[in-house]
Amino acid sequence: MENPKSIVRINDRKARLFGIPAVSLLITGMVHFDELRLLDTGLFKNLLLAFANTFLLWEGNRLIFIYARHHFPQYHQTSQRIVIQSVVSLVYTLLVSTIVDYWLCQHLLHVGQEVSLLFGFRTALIPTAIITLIYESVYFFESWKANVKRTEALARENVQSQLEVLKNQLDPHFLFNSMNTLAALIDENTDAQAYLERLSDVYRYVLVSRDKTTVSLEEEMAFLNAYIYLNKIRFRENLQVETHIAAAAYRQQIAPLSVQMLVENAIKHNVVSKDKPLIIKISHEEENYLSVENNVQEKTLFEKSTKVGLQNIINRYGLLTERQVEIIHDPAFFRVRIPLLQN
Amino acid sequence: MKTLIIEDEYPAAERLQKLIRGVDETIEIVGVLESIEAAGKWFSTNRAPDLIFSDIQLSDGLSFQIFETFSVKAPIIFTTSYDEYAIKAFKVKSIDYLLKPIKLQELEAALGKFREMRVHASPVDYALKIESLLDALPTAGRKYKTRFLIKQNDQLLPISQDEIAYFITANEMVCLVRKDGKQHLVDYTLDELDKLLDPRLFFRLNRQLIAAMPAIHKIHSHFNGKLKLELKPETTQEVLVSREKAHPFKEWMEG
Repeated sequence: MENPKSIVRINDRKARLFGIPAVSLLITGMVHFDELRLLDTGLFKNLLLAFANTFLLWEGNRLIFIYARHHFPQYHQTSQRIVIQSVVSLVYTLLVSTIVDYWLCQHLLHVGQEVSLLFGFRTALIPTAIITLIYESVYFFESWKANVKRTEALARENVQSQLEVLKNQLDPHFLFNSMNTLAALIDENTDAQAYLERLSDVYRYVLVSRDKTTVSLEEEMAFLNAYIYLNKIRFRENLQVETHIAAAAYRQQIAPLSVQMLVENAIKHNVVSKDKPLIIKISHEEENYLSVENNVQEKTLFEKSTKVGLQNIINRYGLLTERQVEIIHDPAFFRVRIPLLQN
Repeated sequence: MKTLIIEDEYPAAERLQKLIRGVDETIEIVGVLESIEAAGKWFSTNRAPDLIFSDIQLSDGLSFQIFETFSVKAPIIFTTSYDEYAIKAFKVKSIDYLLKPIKLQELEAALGKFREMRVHASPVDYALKIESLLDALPTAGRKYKTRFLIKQNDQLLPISQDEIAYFITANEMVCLVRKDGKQHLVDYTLDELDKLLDPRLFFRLNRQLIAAMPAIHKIHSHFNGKLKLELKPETTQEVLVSREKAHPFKEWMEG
Protein backbone atom coordinates (compact mmCIF):
# COMPACT_ATOMS: atom_id res chain seq x y z
CA MET A 1 0.00 0.00 0.00
CA GLU A 2 1.27 3.46 -0.74
CA ASN A 3 1.61 5.98 2.01
CA PRO A 4 0.58 9.45 1.05
CA LYS A 5 3.25 12.11 1.39
CA SER A 6 0.83 14.67 2.64
CA ILE A 7 1.46 18.13 4.00
CA VAL A 8 1.86 18.05 7.74
CA ARG A 9 -0.97 19.88 9.38
CA ILE A 10 -0.98 20.39 13.10
CA ASN A 11 -3.86 21.94 14.91
CA ASP A 12 -1.96 23.66 17.72
CA ARG A 13 -3.12 27.29 17.65
CA LYS A 14 -4.66 27.21 21.10
CA ALA A 15 -1.76 25.28 22.54
CA ARG A 16 0.66 27.92 21.28
CA LEU A 17 -1.51 30.88 22.26
CA PHE A 18 -1.74 29.76 25.87
CA GLY A 19 1.28 27.52 26.08
CA ILE A 20 3.95 30.07 25.19
CA PRO A 21 2.96 32.66 27.85
CA ALA A 22 2.31 29.92 30.39
CA VAL A 23 5.70 28.30 29.91
CA SER A 24 7.41 31.73 29.99
CA LEU A 25 5.74 32.48 33.30
CA LEU A 26 6.60 29.04 34.66
CA ILE A 27 10.26 29.33 33.74
CA THR A 28 10.53 32.82 35.20
CA GLY A 29 8.90 31.50 38.34
CA MET A 30 11.34 28.63 38.59
CA VAL A 31 14.51 30.54 37.82
CA HIS A 32 13.72 33.87 39.53
CA PHE A 33 11.34 32.80 42.24
CA ASP A 34 12.38 35.51 44.71
CA GLU A 35 11.85 38.37 42.27
CA LEU A 36 8.44 37.02 41.37
CA ARG A 37 7.51 36.77 45.02
CA LEU A 38 8.64 40.32 45.81
CA LEU A 39 7.43 41.70 42.47
CA ASP A 40 10.92 43.08 41.97
CA THR A 41 11.58 45.59 39.20
CA GLY A 42 13.82 43.13 37.34
CA LEU A 43 10.83 40.88 36.99
CA PHE A 44 9.53 42.48 33.82
CA LYS A 45 12.84 42.13 32.04
CA ASN A 46 13.15 38.51 33.11
CA LEU A 47 9.62 37.79 31.97
CA LEU A 48 10.38 39.39 28.63
CA LEU A 49 13.52 37.30 28.26
CA ALA A 50 11.74 34.09 29.15
CA PHE A 51 9.01 34.98 26.71
CA ALA A 52 11.50 35.69 23.92
CA ASN A 53 13.26 32.41 24.63
CA THR A 54 10.08 30.36 24.78
CA PHE A 55 8.55 31.97 21.73
CA LEU A 56 11.61 31.51 19.54
CA LEU A 57 12.27 27.97 20.72
CA TRP A 58 8.68 26.84 20.50
CA GLU A 59 8.00 28.28 17.06
CA GLY A 60 11.39 27.26 15.67
CA ASN A 61 11.30 23.74 16.94
CA ARG A 62 7.75 23.45 15.73
CA LEU A 63 8.86 24.37 12.20
CA ILE A 64 11.77 21.93 12.46
CA PHE A 65 9.28 19.27 13.49
CA ILE A 66 6.98 20.07 10.55
CA TYR A 67 9.82 20.06 8.01
CA ALA A 68 11.21 16.81 9.37
CA ARG A 69 7.76 15.25 9.09
CA HIS A 70 7.44 16.55 5.58
CA HIS A 71 10.77 15.19 4.39
CA PHE A 72 10.51 11.81 6.12
CA PRO A 73 6.81 11.04 6.05
CA GLN A 74 7.09 7.25 6.00
CA TYR A 75 6.81 5.17 9.10
CA HIS A 76 10.02 3.24 8.38
CA GLN A 77 11.95 6.54 8.26
CA THR A 78 11.10 7.26 11.87
CA SER A 79 14.54 6.66 13.40
CA GLN A 80 16.28 8.57 10.61
CA ARG A 81 13.89 11.47 11.10
CA ILE A 82 14.25 11.55 14.86
CA VAL A 83 18.05 11.61 14.67
CA ILE A 84 18.15 14.45 12.12
CA GLN A 85 15.34 16.35 13.83
CA SER A 86 17.08 16.09 17.21
CA VAL A 87 20.41 17.31 15.86
CA VAL A 88 18.83 20.30 14.08
CA SER A 89 16.73 21.03 17.14
CA LEU A 90 19.76 20.98 19.44
CA VAL A 91 21.77 23.28 17.20
CA TYR A 92 18.84 25.65 16.89
CA THR A 93 18.19 25.67 20.63
CA LEU A 94 21.85 26.35 21.29
CA LEU A 95 21.88 29.23 18.82
CA VAL A 96 18.70 30.87 20.09
CA SER A 97 19.56 30.59 23.77
CA THR A 98 23.06 31.93 23.19
CA ILE A 99 21.81 34.89 21.17
CA VAL A 100 19.12 35.69 23.71
CA ASP A 101 21.53 35.28 26.64
CA TYR A 102 24.46 37.28 25.38
CA TRP A 103 23.04 39.64 22.90
CA LEU A 104 19.55 40.52 24.10
CA CYS A 105 20.28 40.05 27.77
CA GLN A 106 23.56 41.79 28.19
CA HIS A 107 23.79 44.24 25.33
CA LEU A 108 20.22 45.41 24.89
CA LEU A 109 18.59 45.07 28.27
CA HIS A 110 21.77 45.34 30.33
CA VAL A 111 20.66 42.69 32.70
CA GLY A 112 23.91 42.67 34.51
CA GLN A 113 23.92 39.38 36.32
CA GLU A 114 26.86 37.11 35.64
CA VAL A 115 25.54 33.99 34.03
CA SER A 116 27.53 30.81 33.79
CA LEU A 117 28.43 29.53 30.37
CA LEU A 118 25.45 28.40 28.32
CA PHE A 119 23.14 28.88 31.28
CA GLY A 120 20.25 29.74 28.98
CA PHE A 121 20.86 26.70 26.82
CA ARG A 122 20.82 24.40 29.78
CA THR A 123 17.60 25.85 31.18
CA ALA A 124 15.97 25.83 27.76
CA LEU A 125 16.84 22.22 27.04
CA ILE A 126 14.36 20.50 29.31
CA PRO A 127 11.20 22.47 28.37
CA THR A 128 12.22 22.16 24.70
CA ALA A 129 12.55 18.42 25.01
CA ILE A 130 9.22 18.16 26.79
CA ILE A 131 7.36 20.23 24.21
CA THR A 132 8.95 18.32 21.32
CA LEU A 133 7.96 15.04 22.95
CA ILE A 134 4.41 16.27 23.32
CA TYR A 135 4.32 17.17 19.62
CA GLU A 136 5.80 13.80 18.73
CA SER A 137 3.27 11.82 20.75
CA VAL A 138 0.26 13.87 19.66
CA TYR A 139 1.31 13.46 16.05
CA PHE A 140 1.91 9.74 16.50
CA PHE A 141 -1.47 9.30 18.11
CA GLU A 142 -3.19 11.28 15.37
CA SER A 143 -1.62 9.27 12.57
CA TRP A 144 -2.44 6.05 14.38
CA LYS A 145 -6.07 7.19 14.65
CA ALA A 146 -6.16 8.17 10.98
CA ASN A 147 -4.75 4.79 10.04
CA VAL A 148 -7.38 2.92 12.01
CA LYS A 149 -10.09 5.00 10.35
CA ARG A 150 -8.63 4.33 6.91
CA THR A 151 -8.49 0.60 7.53
CA GLU A 152 -12.10 0.57 8.67
CA ALA A 153 -13.27 2.59 5.70
CA LEU A 154 -11.36 0.30 3.34
CA ALA A 155 -13.00 -2.74 4.86
CA ARG A 156 -16.40 -1.09 4.44
CA GLU A 157 -15.77 -0.27 0.80
CA ASN A 158 -14.63 -3.81 0.15
CA VAL A 159 -17.75 -5.21 1.71
CA GLN A 160 -19.81 -2.97 -0.52
CA SER A 161 -18.06 -4.09 -3.66
CA GLN A 162 -18.58 -7.70 -2.69
CA LEU A 163 -22.21 -7.01 -2.12
CA GLU A 164 -22.50 -5.58 -5.62
CA VAL A 165 -20.93 -8.64 -7.17
CA LEU A 166 -22.43 -11.23 -4.90
CA LYS A 167 -25.93 -9.82 -4.53
CA ASN A 168 -27.42 -13.19 -5.18
CA GLN A 169 -24.66 -15.31 -3.83
CA LEU A 170 -25.26 -19.00 -3.45
CA ASP A 171 -23.47 -21.23 -1.04
CA PRO A 172 -20.15 -21.67 -2.85
CA HIS A 173 -20.12 -25.35 -2.03
CA PHE A 174 -23.41 -25.87 -3.75
CA LEU A 175 -22.35 -23.70 -6.67
CA PHE A 176 -19.11 -25.53 -7.46
CA ASN A 177 -20.54 -28.97 -6.78
CA SER A 178 -23.37 -28.15 -9.19
CA MET A 179 -20.89 -27.02 -11.82
CA ASN A 180 -19.04 -30.29 -11.36
CA THR A 181 -22.27 -32.21 -11.83
CA LEU A 182 -23.04 -30.12 -14.88
CA ALA A 183 -19.59 -30.98 -16.25
CA ALA A 184 -20.48 -34.65 -15.85
CA LEU A 185 -23.81 -34.14 -17.60
CA ILE A 186 -22.53 -32.22 -20.62
CA ASP A 187 -19.90 -34.87 -21.06
CA GLU A 188 -18.23 -34.73 -24.48
CA ASN A 189 -19.10 -31.18 -25.52
CA THR A 190 -15.71 -29.53 -25.23
CA ASP A 191 -16.99 -25.99 -25.87
CA ALA A 192 -19.43 -26.37 -23.02
CA GLN A 193 -16.70 -27.82 -20.80
CA ALA A 194 -14.41 -24.88 -21.58
CA TYR A 195 -17.19 -22.41 -20.88
CA LEU A 196 -18.00 -24.07 -17.58
CA GLU A 197 -14.36 -24.10 -16.52
CA ARG A 198 -14.04 -20.37 -17.15
CA LEU A 199 -17.31 -19.72 -15.38
CA SER A 200 -16.06 -21.55 -12.30
CA ASP A 201 -12.76 -19.65 -12.51
CA VAL A 202 -14.63 -16.34 -12.52
CA TYR A 203 -16.75 -17.25 -9.52
CA ARG A 204 -13.83 -18.66 -7.60
CA TYR A 205 -11.83 -15.48 -8.14
CA VAL A 206 -14.71 -13.33 -6.95
CA LEU A 207 -14.94 -15.42 -3.79
CA VAL A 208 -11.24 -15.65 -3.10
CA SER A 209 -10.36 -12.02 -3.83
CA ARG A 210 -13.04 -10.61 -1.56
CA ASP A 211 -10.78 -10.71 1.48
CA LYS A 212 -7.93 -8.93 -0.26
CA THR A 213 -7.36 -5.19 -0.56
CA THR A 214 -5.09 -5.57 -3.58
CA VAL A 215 -4.07 -8.32 -6.00
CA SER A 216 -1.35 -8.44 -8.62
CA LEU A 217 -2.31 -7.19 -12.06
CA GLU A 218 -1.37 -10.65 -13.32
CA GLU A 219 -4.05 -12.32 -11.20
CA GLU A 220 -6.65 -9.71 -12.09
CA MET A 221 -5.90 -10.06 -15.82
CA ALA A 222 -6.00 -13.88 -15.73
CA PHE A 223 -9.43 -13.59 -14.17
CA LEU A 224 -10.43 -10.86 -16.62
CA ASN A 225 -9.46 -13.09 -19.55
CA ALA A 226 -11.81 -15.78 -18.27
CA TYR A 227 -14.51 -13.13 -17.83
CA ILE A 228 -13.95 -11.81 -21.35
CA TYR A 229 -14.01 -15.35 -22.73
CA LEU A 230 -17.49 -15.82 -21.28
CA ASN A 231 -18.65 -12.56 -22.86
CA LYS A 232 -17.00 -13.30 -26.19
CA ILE A 233 -18.99 -16.54 -26.41
CA ARG A 234 -22.11 -14.39 -26.14
CA PHE A 235 -21.08 -11.49 -28.36
CA ARG A 236 -18.44 -13.13 -30.58
CA GLU A 237 -16.61 -10.55 -32.71
CA ASN A 238 -19.03 -7.81 -31.70
CA LEU A 239 -16.97 -7.47 -28.56
CA GLN A 240 -13.29 -6.81 -29.05
CA VAL A 241 -10.83 -6.43 -26.23
CA GLU A 242 -7.27 -5.31 -26.82
CA THR A 243 -4.65 -5.38 -24.09
CA HIS A 244 -1.31 -3.60 -24.16
CA ILE A 245 0.47 -4.26 -20.92
CA ALA A 246 4.23 -4.41 -20.48
CA ALA A 247 5.48 -7.60 -18.83
CA ALA A 248 6.91 -5.67 -15.88
CA ALA A 249 3.54 -4.09 -15.09
CA TYR A 250 1.98 -7.44 -14.25
CA ARG A 251 3.78 -7.52 -10.93
CA GLN A 252 2.11 -4.31 -9.77
CA GLN A 253 -0.90 -4.30 -7.52
CA ILE A 254 -4.47 -3.32 -8.26
CA ALA A 255 -7.76 -3.32 -6.35
CA PRO A 256 -9.46 -6.68 -7.03
CA LEU A 257 -12.36 -6.70 -9.52
CA SER A 258 -11.68 -3.10 -10.52
CA VAL A 259 -10.80 -3.74 -14.19
CA GLN A 260 -13.59 -6.28 -14.42
CA MET A 261 -16.08 -3.73 -13.10
CA LEU A 262 -15.03 -1.25 -15.80
CA VAL A 263 -15.37 -3.86 -18.54
CA GLU A 264 -18.72 -4.90 -17.15
CA ASN A 265 -19.89 -1.27 -17.15
CA ALA A 266 -18.73 -0.79 -20.76
CA ILE A 267 -20.74 -3.82 -21.88
CA LYS A 268 -23.74 -2.79 -19.80
CA HIS A 269 -24.02 0.78 -21.05
CA ASN A 270 -23.09 0.42 -24.71
CA VAL A 271 -24.43 -1.16 -27.85
CA VAL A 272 -22.59 -4.36 -28.76
CA SER A 273 -23.59 -5.34 -32.28
CA LYS A 274 -22.22 -6.40 -35.62
CA ASP A 275 -22.59 -2.91 -37.06
CA LYS A 276 -21.36 -1.26 -33.92
CA PRO A 277 -18.80 -3.49 -32.27
CA LEU A 278 -17.73 -2.48 -28.79
CA ILE A 279 -13.99 -2.07 -28.59
CA ILE A 280 -12.38 -2.08 -25.17
CA LYS A 281 -8.70 -1.17 -24.86
CA ILE A 282 -6.81 -1.98 -21.71
CA SER A 283 -3.37 -0.44 -21.68
CA HIS A 284 -0.54 0.36 -19.36
CA GLU A 285 0.23 4.07 -19.65
CA GLU A 286 2.73 6.65 -18.49
CA GLU A 287 2.88 7.53 -14.79
CA ASN A 288 2.06 3.91 -14.06
CA TYR A 289 -1.63 4.05 -14.81
CA LEU A 290 -3.81 1.36 -16.27
CA SER A 291 -6.31 2.77 -18.73
CA VAL A 292 -9.57 1.08 -19.67
CA GLU A 293 -11.14 2.73 -22.69
CA ASN A 294 -14.18 2.01 -24.80
CA ASN A 295 -15.91 3.66 -27.74
CA VAL A 296 -19.15 5.31 -26.62
CA GLN A 297 -22.34 4.08 -28.25
CA GLU A 298 -24.81 4.47 -25.44
CA LYS A 299 -27.88 2.33 -25.29
CA THR A 300 -31.13 2.95 -23.49
CA LEU A 301 -31.38 1.13 -20.23
CA PHE A 302 -34.38 0.35 -18.08
CA GLU A 303 -32.73 1.90 -15.08
CA LYS A 304 -30.57 4.95 -15.08
CA SER A 305 -26.98 4.19 -14.26
CA THR A 306 -26.43 4.45 -10.52
CA LYS A 307 -22.66 4.84 -10.96
CA VAL A 308 -22.22 2.66 -7.90
CA GLY A 309 -19.51 0.60 -9.51
CA LEU A 310 -17.38 3.53 -10.63
CA GLN A 311 -17.89 5.36 -7.34
CA ASN A 312 -16.81 2.25 -5.48
CA ILE A 313 -13.55 2.08 -7.44
CA ILE A 314 -12.88 5.76 -6.73
CA ASN A 315 -13.61 5.28 -3.03
CA ARG A 316 -11.41 2.21 -2.74
CA TYR A 317 -8.51 3.93 -4.47
CA GLY A 318 -9.00 6.99 -2.31
CA LEU A 319 -8.10 4.78 0.60
CA LEU A 320 -5.19 3.04 -1.12
CA THR A 321 -3.26 5.93 -2.62
CA GLU A 322 -3.07 9.70 -3.05
CA ARG A 323 -3.11 9.28 -6.80
CA GLN A 324 -6.47 9.96 -8.38
CA VAL A 325 -8.64 7.68 -10.44
CA GLU A 326 -9.13 9.69 -13.64
CA ILE A 327 -12.30 9.66 -15.70
CA ILE A 328 -12.21 11.09 -19.20
CA HIS A 329 -15.65 11.37 -20.74
CA ASP A 330 -15.44 12.31 -24.40
CA PRO A 331 -18.40 12.11 -26.83
CA ALA A 332 -16.49 9.45 -28.77
CA PHE A 333 -14.86 7.46 -26.00
CA PHE A 334 -15.01 6.80 -22.29
CA ARG A 335 -11.77 6.23 -20.48
CA VAL A 336 -10.98 5.48 -16.86
CA ARG A 337 -7.40 5.54 -15.63
CA ILE A 338 -6.64 3.68 -12.44
CA PRO A 339 -3.28 3.96 -10.69
CA LEU A 340 -1.18 0.84 -10.40
CA LEU A 341 0.33 0.35 -6.96
CA GLN A 342 3.84 -0.77 -6.14
CA ASN A 343 3.86 -3.58 -3.70
CA MET B 1 -1.89 -48.94 -11.10
CA LYS B 2 -4.64 -49.39 -8.55
CA THR B 3 -6.65 -46.28 -7.83
CA LEU B 4 -9.40 -45.74 -5.29
CA ILE B 5 -12.03 -43.02 -5.52
CA ILE B 6 -13.82 -41.66 -2.46
CA GLU B 7 -16.74 -39.51 -3.63
CA ASP B 8 -20.35 -39.37 -2.53
CA GLU B 9 -21.93 -37.88 -5.66
CA TYR B 10 -22.56 -40.27 -8.53
CA PRO B 11 -22.10 -37.89 -11.47
CA ALA B 12 -18.90 -36.53 -9.92
CA ALA B 13 -17.52 -40.04 -9.40
CA GLU B 14 -18.48 -41.11 -12.92
CA ARG B 15 -16.88 -38.06 -14.46
CA LEU B 16 -13.69 -38.53 -12.47
CA GLN B 17 -13.42 -42.15 -13.62
CA LYS B 18 -13.95 -41.12 -17.18
CA LEU B 19 -11.36 -38.35 -16.96
CA ILE B 20 -8.80 -40.67 -15.34
CA ARG B 21 -9.28 -43.27 -18.03
CA GLY B 22 -8.92 -40.55 -20.63
CA VAL B 23 -5.54 -39.58 -19.23
CA ASP B 24 -4.15 -43.08 -18.70
CA GLU B 25 -5.86 -46.31 -19.75
CA THR B 26 -3.61 -48.45 -17.58
CA ILE B 27 -5.06 -46.99 -14.39
CA GLU B 28 -7.33 -49.51 -12.76
CA ILE B 29 -10.09 -48.18 -10.54
CA VAL B 30 -10.41 -50.66 -7.72
CA GLY B 31 -13.32 -49.03 -5.95
CA VAL B 32 -15.62 -46.05 -5.62
CA LEU B 33 -16.56 -45.40 -2.00
CA GLU B 34 -19.27 -42.98 -0.98
CA SER B 35 -18.93 -42.69 2.80
CA ILE B 36 -16.61 -42.90 5.77
CA GLU B 37 -18.37 -46.10 6.75
CA ALA B 38 -17.83 -47.72 3.35
CA ALA B 39 -14.22 -46.62 3.37
CA GLY B 40 -13.76 -48.14 6.82
CA LYS B 41 -14.95 -51.49 5.56
CA TRP B 42 -12.83 -51.26 2.44
CA PHE B 43 -9.59 -50.37 4.22
CA SER B 44 -9.95 -53.09 6.84
CA THR B 45 -10.20 -55.78 4.16
CA ASN B 46 -8.04 -54.46 1.33
CA ARG B 47 -4.43 -53.52 0.92
CA ALA B 48 -3.67 -49.86 0.32
CA PRO B 49 -4.06 -48.86 -3.34
CA ASP B 50 -1.37 -47.00 -5.30
CA LEU B 51 -3.33 -43.76 -5.40
CA ILE B 52 -6.45 -42.32 -3.79
CA PHE B 53 -8.73 -39.55 -5.02
CA SER B 54 -10.75 -38.31 -2.11
CA ASP B 55 -13.54 -35.78 -1.79
CA ILE B 56 -13.54 -33.92 1.54
CA GLN B 57 -17.19 -33.61 2.50
CA LEU B 58 -18.86 -36.99 2.39
CA SER B 59 -22.44 -37.89 3.21
CA ASP B 60 -21.49 -38.99 6.74
CA GLY B 61 -18.67 -36.58 7.59
CA LEU B 62 -15.23 -35.43 6.54
CA SER B 63 -12.97 -37.83 4.69
CA PHE B 64 -10.12 -36.84 7.03
CA GLN B 65 -11.74 -39.09 9.61
CA ILE B 66 -10.92 -42.10 7.44
CA PHE B 67 -7.24 -41.25 7.41
CA GLU B 68 -7.36 -40.61 11.11
CA THR B 69 -8.45 -44.19 11.72
CA PHE B 70 -6.28 -45.88 9.12
CA SER B 71 -2.74 -44.71 8.51
CA VAL B 72 -3.05 -45.07 4.77
CA LYS B 73 0.25 -45.69 3.02
CA ALA B 74 -0.77 -44.24 -0.33
CA PRO B 75 -0.65 -40.78 -1.86
CA ILE B 76 -3.96 -38.94 -1.73
CA ILE B 77 -5.17 -36.31 -4.16
CA PHE B 78 -8.04 -34.44 -2.54
CA THR B 79 -10.91 -33.16 -4.64
CA THR B 80 -12.82 -30.22 -3.27
CA SER B 81 -15.32 -27.67 -4.45
CA TYR B 82 -14.75 -24.96 -1.88
CA ASP B 83 -13.05 -25.58 1.44
CA GLU B 84 -10.89 -22.52 2.06
CA TYR B 85 -9.62 -23.84 5.35
CA ALA B 86 -8.52 -27.20 3.97
CA ILE B 87 -7.02 -25.67 0.83
CA LYS B 88 -4.84 -23.43 2.98
CA ALA B 89 -3.54 -26.51 4.80
CA PHE B 90 -2.97 -28.39 1.52
CA LYS B 91 -0.84 -25.52 0.28
CA VAL B 92 1.19 -25.40 3.49
CA LYS B 93 1.78 -29.15 3.55
CA SER B 94 2.17 -29.33 -0.27
CA ILE B 95 -0.55 -31.92 -0.61
CA ASP B 96 -2.16 -32.28 -4.02
CA TYR B 97 -5.72 -31.25 -4.57
CA LEU B 98 -8.08 -30.68 -7.49
CA LEU B 99 -10.74 -28.01 -7.57
CA LYS B 100 -14.20 -28.91 -8.80
CA PRO B 101 -15.26 -28.77 -11.54
CA ILE B 102 -12.19 -30.84 -12.24
CA LYS B 103 -10.25 -29.75 -15.29
CA LEU B 104 -8.63 -32.32 -17.55
CA GLN B 105 -5.37 -30.36 -17.67
CA GLU B 106 -5.11 -30.13 -13.90
CA LEU B 107 -5.82 -33.82 -13.52
CA GLU B 108 -3.08 -34.60 -16.05
CA ALA B 109 -0.66 -32.38 -14.14
CA ALA B 110 -1.52 -34.04 -10.82
CA LEU B 111 -1.07 -37.53 -12.26
CA GLY B 112 2.21 -36.51 -13.85
CA LYS B 113 3.45 -35.20 -10.53
CA PHE B 114 2.36 -38.37 -8.82
CA ARG B 115 4.35 -40.53 -11.26
CA GLU B 116 7.46 -38.43 -10.65
CA MET B 117 7.08 -38.56 -6.87
CA ARG B 118 6.51 -42.30 -6.91
CA VAL B 119 10.13 -42.84 -7.91
CA HIS B 120 11.59 -41.48 -4.66
CA ALA B 121 8.79 -41.49 -2.10
CA SER B 122 8.07 -44.51 0.06
CA PRO B 123 4.64 -45.50 1.38
CA VAL B 124 5.82 -44.49 4.85
CA ASP B 125 6.41 -40.93 3.62
CA TYR B 126 2.85 -40.70 2.33
CA ALA B 127 1.42 -41.76 5.67
CA LEU B 128 3.59 -39.25 7.53
CA LYS B 129 2.55 -36.49 5.15
CA ILE B 130 -1.14 -37.14 5.75
CA GLU B 131 -0.44 -37.32 9.47
CA SER B 132 1.08 -33.87 9.39
CA LEU B 133 -1.93 -32.61 7.42
CA LEU B 134 -4.23 -33.95 10.12
CA ASP B 135 -2.14 -32.13 12.75
CA ALA B 136 -2.62 -28.91 10.78
CA LEU B 137 -6.38 -29.47 10.62
CA PRO B 138 -7.23 -30.16 14.25
CA THR B 139 -10.81 -29.01 13.92
CA ALA B 140 -11.54 -30.82 10.69
CA GLY B 141 -10.28 -34.31 11.40
CA ARG B 142 -10.37 -34.69 15.13
CA LYS B 143 -10.32 -32.91 18.43
CA TYR B 144 -6.98 -34.07 19.82
CA LYS B 145 -4.06 -36.09 18.59
CA THR B 146 -4.60 -39.62 19.82
CA ARG B 147 -1.88 -41.41 17.92
CA PHE B 148 1.70 -40.90 16.86
CA LEU B 149 3.35 -42.44 13.82
CA ILE B 150 7.01 -43.21 14.40
CA LYS B 151 9.25 -44.00 11.47
CA GLN B 152 11.52 -46.95 12.22
CA ASN B 153 13.69 -48.41 9.46
CA ASP B 154 11.12 -47.77 6.74
CA GLN B 155 8.40 -49.11 8.94
CA LEU B 156 5.64 -47.16 10.58
CA LEU B 157 5.05 -47.75 14.24
CA PRO B 158 1.75 -46.38 15.46
CA ILE B 159 1.75 -45.42 19.15
CA SER B 160 -1.58 -44.71 20.77
CA GLN B 161 -1.90 -42.05 23.46
CA ASP B 162 -2.55 -44.76 26.08
CA GLU B 163 0.98 -46.09 25.67
CA ILE B 164 2.64 -42.73 26.29
CA ALA B 165 4.13 -41.88 29.70
CA TYR B 166 5.57 -38.48 28.90
CA PHE B 167 7.33 -36.25 26.40
CA ILE B 168 10.65 -34.88 27.50
CA THR B 169 12.93 -32.42 25.76
CA ALA B 170 16.70 -32.22 25.93
CA ASN B 171 19.15 -30.61 23.51
CA GLU B 172 16.28 -29.25 21.40
CA MET B 173 15.02 -32.74 20.68
CA VAL B 174 11.73 -34.08 21.92
CA CYS B 175 11.53 -37.65 23.07
CA LEU B 176 8.38 -39.71 23.50
CA VAL B 177 8.80 -42.08 26.45
CA ARG B 178 6.49 -45.05 26.57
CA LYS B 179 5.18 -46.70 29.70
CA ASP B 180 7.48 -49.67 29.09
CA GLY B 181 10.45 -47.31 29.03
CA LYS B 182 11.05 -47.37 25.25
CA GLN B 183 11.95 -44.00 23.78
CA HIS B 184 11.29 -42.46 20.36
CA LEU B 185 12.23 -39.10 18.92
CA VAL B 186 9.29 -37.12 17.58
CA ASP B 187 9.13 -34.21 15.18
CA TYR B 188 7.12 -31.87 17.37
CA THR B 189 8.08 -29.17 19.84
CA LEU B 190 6.58 -29.32 23.32
CA ASP B 191 4.57 -26.18 22.53
CA GLU B 192 3.03 -27.89 19.51
CA LEU B 193 2.28 -31.02 21.54
CA ASP B 194 0.71 -28.90 24.26
CA LYS B 195 -1.88 -27.77 21.70
CA LEU B 196 -2.36 -31.16 20.03
CA LEU B 197 -2.78 -33.41 23.06
CA ASP B 198 -5.95 -33.93 25.07
CA PRO B 199 -5.58 -31.66 28.14
CA ARG B 200 -7.54 -34.06 30.30
CA LEU B 201 -4.91 -36.74 29.78
CA PHE B 202 -1.71 -34.70 29.49
CA PHE B 203 -0.27 -31.84 31.55
CA ARG B 204 2.56 -29.46 30.79
CA LEU B 205 4.64 -29.83 33.98
CA ASN B 206 7.41 -27.40 33.05
CA ARG B 207 9.49 -26.32 30.07
CA GLN B 208 10.96 -29.79 29.62
CA LEU B 209 8.02 -32.10 30.24
CA ILE B 210 4.49 -33.00 29.25
CA ALA B 211 3.26 -36.01 31.20
CA ALA B 212 0.29 -38.33 31.06
CA MET B 213 -1.58 -38.85 34.29
CA PRO B 214 -0.58 -42.50 34.96
CA ALA B 215 3.08 -41.50 34.67
CA ILE B 216 2.85 -39.38 37.84
CA HIS B 217 4.17 -41.74 40.48
CA LYS B 218 4.76 -39.60 43.57
CA ILE B 219 4.28 -35.92 44.47
CA HIS B 220 6.41 -34.25 47.13
CA SER B 221 6.18 -30.72 48.46
CA HIS B 222 9.30 -28.77 47.70
CA PHE B 223 10.39 -25.46 49.21
CA ASN B 224 8.94 -22.21 47.89
CA GLY B 225 5.59 -23.77 47.08
CA LYS B 226 7.03 -25.88 44.30
CA LEU B 227 6.26 -29.55 43.78
CA LYS B 228 8.76 -32.29 43.16
CA LEU B 229 7.54 -35.26 41.19
CA GLU B 230 8.66 -38.80 40.65
CA LEU B 231 7.67 -40.16 37.30
CA LYS B 232 7.38 -43.69 36.04
CA PRO B 233 9.56 -44.60 34.10
CA GLU B 234 12.15 -42.64 36.08
CA THR B 235 13.77 -39.53 34.68
CA THR B 236 17.46 -38.74 35.01
CA GLN B 237 16.84 -35.14 36.00
CA GLU B 238 14.74 -33.72 38.83
CA VAL B 239 11.13 -32.92 37.91
CA LEU B 240 9.84 -29.70 39.45
CA VAL B 241 6.51 -27.97 39.05
CA SER B 242 6.64 -24.23 39.69
CA ARG B 243 4.57 -22.53 42.37
CA GLU B 244 2.32 -20.96 39.70
CA LYS B 245 1.64 -24.32 38.09
CA ALA B 246 1.26 -26.27 41.34
CA HIS B 247 -2.38 -25.36 41.81
CA PRO B 248 -3.59 -26.08 38.24
CA PHE B 249 -1.56 -29.28 38.40
CA LYS B 250 -3.37 -30.48 41.53
CA GLU B 251 -6.72 -29.59 39.97
CA TRP B 252 -5.80 -31.60 36.89
CA MET B 253 -4.76 -34.58 39.01
CA GLU B 254 -8.07 -34.50 40.85
CA GLY B 255 -9.86 -34.44 37.50
